[in-house]
Amino acid sequence: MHADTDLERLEKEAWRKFYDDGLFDIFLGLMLAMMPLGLLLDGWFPEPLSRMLALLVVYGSLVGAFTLLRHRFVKPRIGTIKPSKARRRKVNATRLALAISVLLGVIVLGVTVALRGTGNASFLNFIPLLFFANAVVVFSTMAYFLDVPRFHAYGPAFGLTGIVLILPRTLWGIEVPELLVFGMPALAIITVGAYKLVRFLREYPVRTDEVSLDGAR
Amino acid sequence: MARDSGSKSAGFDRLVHEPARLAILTNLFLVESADATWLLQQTGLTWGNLASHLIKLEEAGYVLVEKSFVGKKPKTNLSITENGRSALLGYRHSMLDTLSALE
Repeated sequence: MHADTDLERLEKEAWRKFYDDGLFDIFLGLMLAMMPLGLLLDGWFPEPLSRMLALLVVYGSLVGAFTLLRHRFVKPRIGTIKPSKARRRKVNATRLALAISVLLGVIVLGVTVALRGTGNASFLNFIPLLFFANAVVVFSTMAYFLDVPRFHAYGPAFGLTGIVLILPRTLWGIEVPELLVFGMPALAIITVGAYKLVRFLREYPVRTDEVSLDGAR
Repeated sequence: MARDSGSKSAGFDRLVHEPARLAILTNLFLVESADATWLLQQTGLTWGNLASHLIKLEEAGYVLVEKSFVGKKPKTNLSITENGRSALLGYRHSMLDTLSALE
């Protein structure tokens, strides 16, 4: 039993437990692993709209599976909370950062599509750098506001993929296999998630129902 | 119902001073509300212990216990009251004063 009085540290520790189940890491790893899918879909769905819809379905299914798994396996073990106002402000700041990131991504995608086939395609060489900066900023924001330090490492893991994929092609004409570029960091992140998930399931067994708490009424 | 001053000795609220209740109040202080499962995990108490301490804290007006059903499953929602917050902060202040006097 813990009777610590360092409230701020306790709050951080308590909050961090909600990211200790490893599911979010596995979700992020799968998102990264599925990035080449977007390139594959270029061939399957030549129309940009249908391609975007297909991507939405794929990523939507991933989000749905993640939500369902959290509901079925995490909540019964660790319970649920309504966070304090200060924590909710931090969560909202993270959501804002993610929204800005998505918006920037859409803008860059739009500019890319518009510039393809024009004489101004040199801008495209900077896209990996923009992607890197975006990923680092987003994941660092998440790490800072959600108090989960390992997210700092995920930003470069995501961001470097674009550079490793495009820079050797542009500079030396070398094609690095996409499976390697996306698969390696994805595998590392999924491994972290799987390790955390196994530890979480061992550490937090499902508690029996709350019938015995009826006495507290 | 607030507990009378008889539960306080040497400036400490004995209701808060008990380690299990201190852990319950401290954890509920960190959040706006929580379910019993979360509190069990955080404190390491058993269901029985948690229930008995919650009765005392609820009677003192330090904790609000709300029962509901999600489907067929009972769900207990817990939150610390303003009285509970004041009691915990007051206890913390008294404890820090006492301990700093020992240095």
